[in-house]
Order: sequence, then structure tokens, then C-alpha cells
Amino acid sequence: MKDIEIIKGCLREDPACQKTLFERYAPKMFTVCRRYARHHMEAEDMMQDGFVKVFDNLEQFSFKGSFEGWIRRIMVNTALKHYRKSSFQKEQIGFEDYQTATVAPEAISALGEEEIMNLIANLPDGYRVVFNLYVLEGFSHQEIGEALKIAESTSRSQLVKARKMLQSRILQSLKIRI
Amino acid sequence: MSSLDSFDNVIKGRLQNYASEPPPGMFRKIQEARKPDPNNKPISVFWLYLSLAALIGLISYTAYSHLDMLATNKTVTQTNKAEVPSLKNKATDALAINADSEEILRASEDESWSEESKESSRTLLNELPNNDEQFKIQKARTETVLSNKSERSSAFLATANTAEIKEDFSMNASSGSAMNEIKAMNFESDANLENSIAAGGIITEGFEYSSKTWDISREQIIAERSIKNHELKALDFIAASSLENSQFAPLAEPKKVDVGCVNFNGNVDNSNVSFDVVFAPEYAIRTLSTEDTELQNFVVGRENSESFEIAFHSGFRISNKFKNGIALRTGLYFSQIQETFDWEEIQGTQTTVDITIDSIYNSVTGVLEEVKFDTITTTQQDIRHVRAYNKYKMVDIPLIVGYEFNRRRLSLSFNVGALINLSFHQRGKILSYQNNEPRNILDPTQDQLFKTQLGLGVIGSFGLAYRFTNRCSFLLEPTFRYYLQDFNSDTNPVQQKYLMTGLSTGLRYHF
Repeated sequence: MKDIEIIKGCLREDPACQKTLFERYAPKMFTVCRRYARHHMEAEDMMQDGFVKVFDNLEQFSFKGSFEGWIRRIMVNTALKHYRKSSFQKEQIGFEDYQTATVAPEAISALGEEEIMNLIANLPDGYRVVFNLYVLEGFSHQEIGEALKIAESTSRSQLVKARKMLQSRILQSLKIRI
Repeated sequence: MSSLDSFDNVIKGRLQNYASEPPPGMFRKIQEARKPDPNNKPISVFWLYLSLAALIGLISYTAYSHLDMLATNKTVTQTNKAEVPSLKNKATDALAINADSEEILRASEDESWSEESKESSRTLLNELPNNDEQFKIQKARTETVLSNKSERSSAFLATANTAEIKEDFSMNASSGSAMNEIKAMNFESDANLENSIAAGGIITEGFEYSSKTWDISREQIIAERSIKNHELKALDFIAASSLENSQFAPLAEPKKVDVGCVNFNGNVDNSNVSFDVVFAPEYAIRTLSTEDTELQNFVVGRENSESFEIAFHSGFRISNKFKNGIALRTGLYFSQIQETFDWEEIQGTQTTVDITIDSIYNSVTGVLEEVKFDTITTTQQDIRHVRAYNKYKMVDIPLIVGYEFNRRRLSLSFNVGALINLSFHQRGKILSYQNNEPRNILDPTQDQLFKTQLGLGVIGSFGLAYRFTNRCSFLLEPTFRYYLQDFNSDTNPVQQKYLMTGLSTGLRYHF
């Protein structure tokens, strides 16, 4: 079934089409939610809220551009909303604790996706969100600043710190493996 | 920087299309989350509008209740500040008629008067005939009433805010120019003077009459003057008031001073015809009943499945008000009642059987044997929630008779009348009395559920109109409407009736 047929079915509140849409996009979207969430339960909440929004606002999809991109954007926005709600719990990690380290791209290929996911998930909240938005969603620092209500310079420094920390942890992970 | 970019790209490449298994039961949770919570209905626009309208009504009522006091204060201020010169003229004229020669002489020797005014007074004094007895009688009568009024007014003055009045009446001190007006009056000739003398009696009579109808403000003014021993000034004012009610009034036509305000004194409704545009959010009280005992449960089912959402009527009307306050109104109303129909349809049933199997090592045979420990059967229904918005639309001609009376800017009216229904349309879904299943109201394959015309209805309202410009008024009318006939067709055994109550708001244009 094509996306357009599924969307039209969902607009008619057809449960079969809704289920098809869910099954088609839920795995990727759950990954998106997991990247932003601190734990599995929060990722579930994000995805549930995100899909409720998708079904409720489906008439706003203009059939221009990627439908997957539209859903992904809703998921990211929902994740950011969750992040803002719990921003008072943000962790503070000193940059000095992490030494400058460079990881060769080949080294990353030795890691599985799930391992990379876990490494990202273990980043402090602010680092994780900025890293996800910049690297995986392609946001600019200005857009990140507006989305998270932080200064552009803060976004840049958070990204640098996130990279360093992630690289450091990847190296540690590889050392343990060796 | 390039190494960082490549790091980012590698991470992105690895995770961009990575998919992980969503938790089981997530879709069902999403469906449940999307179901409307009947206990958590959002505040509808209707109730917000109604609250706002009620607030406006309350404010209007409060303003209306205090309008007399506000209007009286305004009159005092306007009279003192704007019309004092003209009243002073009249008062001075009256003084010339009622006062005796000594009083005029005393006034003419007042230091504050100009030489020209003093000269005019002396001239007038010389021209006065020697009929002191008559004048003394007039003056005695005037002063008696003045004294009575002053005593009564002292009590008012004790609580009144007299600061403004005192300030305003300081303007009266400059009476020199006012005295000049005496010349302008037709006192030169004896004939006119005789008329004036004759008018004096009428003035005094008029004064006695008008003193009975004086409002609080004037009593305050007189009391103020009395306390300050300015009887002469009080006499001026009283005489001026008397003059207004006498045949001598044309002689002392007051000079109208435009103070830049719209004059709303008395009846402001200069025109009889007006055009109203109204909108009324309403609450529709529905009654469902049936004489068929077998359908009692069906009626309960309908009441549970249908709920009121919003109702309103809007339209225009033309009013013609007669001099006796009776007003006839007619126009065109469009009204709508909206209800929601909620129903859950079972689409299918899913049965899940969970069998728990474990392995036990058989020491005798040395083989692992599978043993069934438990079997759990779970049945889950796939329920589809159906929601439809039922709309009942009516077009009516109202024929309304009202009684309307005005009070400065506000007008109150009581209206009752008939509604002649021109058309009645409906759409949506309700339960069918034939099979208790949802059906489309307009399903042409089934029997017709509702009428296409509702015949006669009754409408009533209590109207409040506030005139904010010379031509326009704001309307606020609690309204009720009731159709005498049932909404259902003859074939439909369930009688459906409505009583609509609402708060009509609108604008009125006075032609």
C-alpha cells in the first residue's frame, strides 16, 4: 500500500490504515526517540505522544516532500518538548575530564549500531540533544539555539564537548573489546 | 575540522536508517490516547462567550442602576460650568422684576460691579414704578420658599461634595457683565415693565411649582448659597428657574453653550425605525420521549450517545417603535443546534493464546522433556470509535411585539412573539429506532426521521440597549425560543423537542 493511500485511510480514521502507517514508520521513529530519551520508558512516551500528534494532525500534511521526514520532524519536536519539560534535571559535566582524542572512522565501523546508540544515550542531556540535532537532524546552531532557547555559542560548545566525550567513550569501548 | 566532519558523517550514516523494534502494545496505547476523555472536555467557545456576555450584562446593569446619580452630577457640572452665564442673565432679569428698589440699589453699590453695571442698575431703579407693596408681597413669598428650601437643603449639603459647586459658583461673582443684559431686556418702556410686573406673580407661582420638582443638585446649590449668606444669588437662581416655567421664558431665552458632548437629555430615541443585527449563543435543552414502551431503552441509548455541543441564532430585524412604547419587530433568523454523536463499533475480535512450555530433564531417560506449564487465552476487541456532528438548522421569520422605554442612553424592552419556520434541515448520525444501529439522518433508503418545516415557535426576550453613539446601540438580550411542534417526523416514534435559551448580542442602527 502506498503512503498516499495509507494517509487517506488514516484521514478517514480507518484503523487498518492507521496500523499500517504505524508499523511502517514506528521502528525508525522509535530509534529517533531513543536517541533523545534518557531511558527506554521516556522513549516510549515520546513515541506515543509523537504518533498521537501524527494521527491528529494528518490533515496538515500537504503531500509535498517526504512523509517520513514530516513524521520525523514531529517526533523530534515532541522529543524536544519532553527535553524542555525535564530540563531542570540536566546534568553538568566538566569538559576537563575528557582528553582530546580522535577516532578513525574505521574504528567506528567496528561498533554495532546498538552500541553507538547506547553511547549516545549515555551522553549528558544537553550534549546528547545538541549532538543529535546537529549531526543527525542537520540543524544549524542558530536553529538549535532557537529550539532549545540557548545561545548559539552554547550550542557550538555543547557540540564540541559532545563529540569529544563520544569519541573518548568509543575509544574506551574499543579498548575494552581488544 | 575535516576529521570531525567525517566523524559526524560516519555516525549519521550508521544511525540514519537504523530501526529498532518498537515496544509491543504501543499501537493500542496510541489509539487509547486518541480517544476523547469524556471527563475532560475542553471549555467550549460557547461557554466562554456566554461568560463574557454575562459579564457585560452585569456591568451594564450596574451602570444602569447608577445612571441617575451619574446623570445628576453631570447636569450640575455642565450647568455650573457652561450655562452659568445664561442662567446668570436670567437671574439678573428676574431680580429686576422681583426685588425692591432698596435691593437693587444695594446691588448697584456693590464694589465688585463695574461702573457701567452700577449705572445701569441706577437707571433701572429710577424707572421702577412706585408700587413697593406689590413687590414686597412678591419678595416675601419668594423668600419664604427660599428659606424652606434652604433649611431642607442644609441636610443634603452636610453630606454632599460641595467643593466643585463652590468653585463653580465663584463664577457668579462676575456679575457685572450680566447686569448689562438688563439693558437688553425690554424694560425701557413702562408697558413692558408692567408686563414684567404681571409676570412676577406668575414667576413666583412658577417658582413654587418648580421648587417642588427641584432635584438634589439644585437644592445643594441653594443650600450652599444660603449658608454663605448669598441670598441674593440664590434669589437670582430661583428666579431664573421660575422663569423657565413661566410665560416670561421667551424673554430670557438661555444662551445654549456647546460643551462638545452629545446631548442625551430626555428621550433620545428621535427615530421610530431601527435595524438590528443580532447573534446569540444558546443552550438547547432537548427532550426525548416516546409513547412506545418497547422503545424506552432506545431513548436512553440515544440520550447516552448524543450530547449537546453548541447552538446559536443570528440574523437581522427591523423595529418600528410607536410613541406609546410599543415596538413591532420582524426580520430573518438563522439558527443552528449542534450535537455530537459518539458510538463505538466492534470491528473484530483477536484471541491470543499464550502457552508456557518448559523443559525438564528426565534423569531416567536422560532426555530433556518439554512440559506445558500454563495456557493463557486473551481476547481483545478491535473497537472503532465513531463521532459525528449532528446539525439542526432552521430559518425563521420572527414577528415580535415589544414594549420599550428609554432612560437616557439605556433602553429596556420586553419582547414576545412568534417564529414562523421557513425551513428545517438536519444532518449527521443517530441510532436507528429500527435496529439500534447508527444510521445517517439523511439516508434516502430509510424512512425520514425529521420534519422539513417546524411550523410555529415562540420567542421571548428581555432587551437592554446601550446607545453609544447618536445612531448606534449595543444590544444585550437574554432570549428563549421554543417550537411548538416536535422535530421528528410522523413516522419517527421518538418525539424530539428543544427549548433554546441564550444571550443575544448585537448592534442597533437608528434611522
